[in-house]
Amino acid sequence: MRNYILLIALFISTIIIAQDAKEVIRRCNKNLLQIKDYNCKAHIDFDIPGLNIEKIDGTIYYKRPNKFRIKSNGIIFLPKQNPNQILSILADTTSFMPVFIAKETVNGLLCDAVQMVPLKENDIAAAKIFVDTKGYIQKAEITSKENGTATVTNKFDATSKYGMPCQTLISFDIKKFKVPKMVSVELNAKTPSKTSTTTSTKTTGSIKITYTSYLFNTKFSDTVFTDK
Amino acid sequence: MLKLIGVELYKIYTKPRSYLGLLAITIIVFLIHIAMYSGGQEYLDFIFSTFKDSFDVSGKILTGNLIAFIILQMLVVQMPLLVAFVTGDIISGEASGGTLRILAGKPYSRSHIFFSKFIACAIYTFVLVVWLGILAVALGHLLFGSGDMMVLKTEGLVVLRDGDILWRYGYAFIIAFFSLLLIASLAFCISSFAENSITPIVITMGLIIISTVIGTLEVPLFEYVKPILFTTHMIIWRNMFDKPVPWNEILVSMSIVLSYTCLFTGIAWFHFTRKDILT
Repeated sequence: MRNYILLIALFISTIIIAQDAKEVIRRCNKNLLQIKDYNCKAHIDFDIPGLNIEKIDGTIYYKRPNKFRIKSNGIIFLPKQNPNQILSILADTTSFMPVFIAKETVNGLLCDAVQMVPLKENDIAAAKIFVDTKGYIQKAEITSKENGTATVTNKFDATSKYGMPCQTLISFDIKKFKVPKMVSVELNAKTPSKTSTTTSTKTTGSIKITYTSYLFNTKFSDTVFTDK
Repeated sequence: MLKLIGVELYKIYTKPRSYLGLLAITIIVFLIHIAMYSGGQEYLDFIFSTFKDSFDVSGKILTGNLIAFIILQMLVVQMPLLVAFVTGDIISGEASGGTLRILAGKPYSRSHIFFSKFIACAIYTFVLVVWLGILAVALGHLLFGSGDMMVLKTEGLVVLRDGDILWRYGYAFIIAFFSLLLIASLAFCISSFAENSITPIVITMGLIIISTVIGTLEVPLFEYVKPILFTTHMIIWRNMFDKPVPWNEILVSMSIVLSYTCLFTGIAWFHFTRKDILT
């Protein structure tokens, strides 16, 4: 009899947790689903070991479900796991199942932590999001099979609309770059200790994106994603 | 002196071999431009594959700035040969042709004759560098447009923004000119000792190849020798594309390059002003 009670309690708690997680996702999507497209100005700062690159300004274009582009006059490096992936993960209710984990404080705000578990074969092994009471994603951790884990930390201000941040900090794992000197044609340079272009030495890089001048649902042309 | 320089320049102008260098640069640069225009993206994808595996790279990579940089890197070995072709012949060629004795018999001092020849060599070297600059940078921009430039290094990658590049090329070509002037002075020095035009060219190229091989090999014994090899310092132009620019390193290397130039020119002058010109 005691075992039955325990089993029923476990079943009910699982349903409650699942409902909690779905409620959190609904809270998020209540904001995000209002966005069909957006564009905004972006200022990008890079801090990536082995990559000496100056900050740059550009324009971000996004269209539901997963069209994303940063247009600028120069070269931009973004990690494979970009913040836009969160929008796609949240919108795709058939590929990911939300599981409530705990309540945690992020950026000084009490947030619900939800693990998005992939239900189908997916490059994303796991995604964990931290959602505040307004339904804003304060933080997300995306782990992909190929590229390790990226942590996305968002900042919001009074002008933030539809759950879109005013600043995002992306921290991510990168492999230390080692290029043979015959490829880099640096004849005087010393070849890295391991001549292979990939070594196991991992390190962390970060990219900070500051967003301004958001324009939502302007129905801009798809050509911005394809033109040069 | 100006008249003598004019005469020496005219001699260079009339020799067919003087145009070999310009022609070779033109052909090589055009071939690289055509190759990059047709399949440059695949080439760059391979070169930068290490970074593309980890990042989404957006923006124009195949730019005139990058192509000019690739051309300069590829011509590291060829340019000294082209300079040595002309400068190695300027004294010994006249010695073998029998005109050096006639020239020495004119009412000009040996030093005047010597330096007029050297200045003519420097002008020829300058013309080669300027021609390379026009073809590599100007034509590169015309064909591929301007844009940011990615410089691959053994320990990573430097991305230079479009507006921050042309001045670097300016300095890089000045450094390249002085580096090639060192080769000109070496060939000139050997030329002052030789009686035929082939020997200085062959010896100069031999020395460059040996120095380059020693500089490339990572053997502990050679590590002590590398800092005194002139080829180590001749390719310092590449450091102009570092961020920040290692000015101290460049100045030290340029001082060594200029010291070698003065040394070779001094030896040549000492010998030329004292030697018996019998042919």
